[in-house]
Amino acid sequence: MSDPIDIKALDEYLKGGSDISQRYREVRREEVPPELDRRVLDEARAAVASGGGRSRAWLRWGAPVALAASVILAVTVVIESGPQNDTSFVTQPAAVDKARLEPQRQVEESKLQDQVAQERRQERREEQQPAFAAEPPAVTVQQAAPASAPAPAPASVPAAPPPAALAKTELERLNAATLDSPAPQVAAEQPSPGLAGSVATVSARKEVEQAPAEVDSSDDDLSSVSITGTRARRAGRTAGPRGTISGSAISSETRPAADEDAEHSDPEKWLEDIRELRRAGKVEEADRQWQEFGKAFPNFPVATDDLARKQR
Amino acid sequence: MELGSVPSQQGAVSSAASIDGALPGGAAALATAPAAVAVTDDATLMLRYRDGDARAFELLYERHKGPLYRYLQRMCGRREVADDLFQEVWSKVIASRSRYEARAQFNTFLFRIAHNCAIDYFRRSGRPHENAAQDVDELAEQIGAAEHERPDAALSEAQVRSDFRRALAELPPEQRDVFVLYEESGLTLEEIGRITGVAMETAKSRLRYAVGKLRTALRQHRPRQLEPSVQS
Repeated sequence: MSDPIDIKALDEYLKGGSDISQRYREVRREEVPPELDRRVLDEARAAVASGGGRSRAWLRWGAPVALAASVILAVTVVIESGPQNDTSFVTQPAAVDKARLEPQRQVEESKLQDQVAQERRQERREEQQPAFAAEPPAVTVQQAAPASAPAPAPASVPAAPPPAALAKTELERLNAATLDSPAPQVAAEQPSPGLAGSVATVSARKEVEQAPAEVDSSDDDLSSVSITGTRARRAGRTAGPRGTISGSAISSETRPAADEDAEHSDPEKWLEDIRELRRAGKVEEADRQWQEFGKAFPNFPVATDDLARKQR
Repeated sequence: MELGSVPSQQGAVSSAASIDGALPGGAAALATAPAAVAVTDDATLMLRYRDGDARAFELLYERHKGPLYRYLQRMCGRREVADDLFQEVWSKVIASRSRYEARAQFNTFLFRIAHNCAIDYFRRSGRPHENAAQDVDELAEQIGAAEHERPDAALSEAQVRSDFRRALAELPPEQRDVFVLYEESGLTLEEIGRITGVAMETAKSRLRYAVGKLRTALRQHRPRQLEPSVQS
């Protein structure tokens, strides 16, 4: 319990001018010794002379400067990377992409080949049983052409064709072996309508020829595939997952079977037709086709002893 | 607790008042607020010193050295110890100038360091607050200072002061701490509570007890009312 007298004395004291404060001021006579003053001031001057102030000033400005630099760096990175999102993968090392995506691509190719073969077998079975009701739309399988500029005319047909060409060759072999068809390549041009959506057209060759400056690597180089895919997406065409053979560089197109331009869009197929004409003894037609082929694909490598060549 | 985190400006006022020694502190310092406006405040001086202005520290030192020294001497009771602690406090102020912020009141900053130094000293020495023993020489000095007065009156006045000093020295350390801080620093009870690590009500209670004991000591020297020996 507080003493009321003490509380009153405290209030009087807190107001100021009490006798207690007055007495305290009277008794406080202590002064700082001059020697102590000198020591303290010397220490203060020495601290200033040591240059601590500059470092503190730097610390004071260090945080804002660091923050500003970080913001500038972040904005720069965003500006630099933002518009290139569509093609940023092109800047990745081609070897890394290739090594990473090659297994996936092989799997895609094998799946594609199996699917095409199954569709082909099923179609042949259907063709053998009923009569032809209607001619289905053709699907042109184009090979993935080498991305690099065509080499000077080789002595023979390339021993290792591109993967898509392998798929086509495999298709033809399967058709010939299973169905004993006299013209498997013709059948290859007339798949079922359902095949149109699954069989891809590798158009890298054509696009590379149209824009050779964009491509500077081999046919297996995924960079070229990615660039083509980017261009395809920009053009509004259908594109699959990035980096797959069935993706950007491969597009599906269905055309009428009578479309001659579509038949001649594949140089390999065209050459095969010319060879067939020569085997059939249609020399004039073969020569005419050969001339047209030379005009359409002036730089396409054809072996000097190829049967399709015009006989001198 | 962060040093000097009280954003009050009273320290500048009281510091400006105590620069010429006219007003010692406490509530009396608040009366000089208008006169202190033109004086550079403590925070500005400390910031200037932080940036390398040694002259700013000299001004700051002149303002606060008296109250700080007296506070330490009242707390320790021995001049040698007070001298050491005084230098230690200012050394810490100098060393911690980079951490000082303008929003902090320098008075709080300074006396918190002083309070902590005193507590550390008591812990190191292993003994509680020493009583400020009345020095015979000091008493003689006080008597000499009152030579102009009548000898008996001077002796009586010296006795009053001596008793007051003794009563102050015999206060419990916590009460003496709050009382001397209030008198010397000019801080509010809330700020004193922050410095000493107690609530404002606790600081106020300690101050009330201290004032009561000092008042009792002074009451002993009040002249007794004489009564006529012969009733008329």
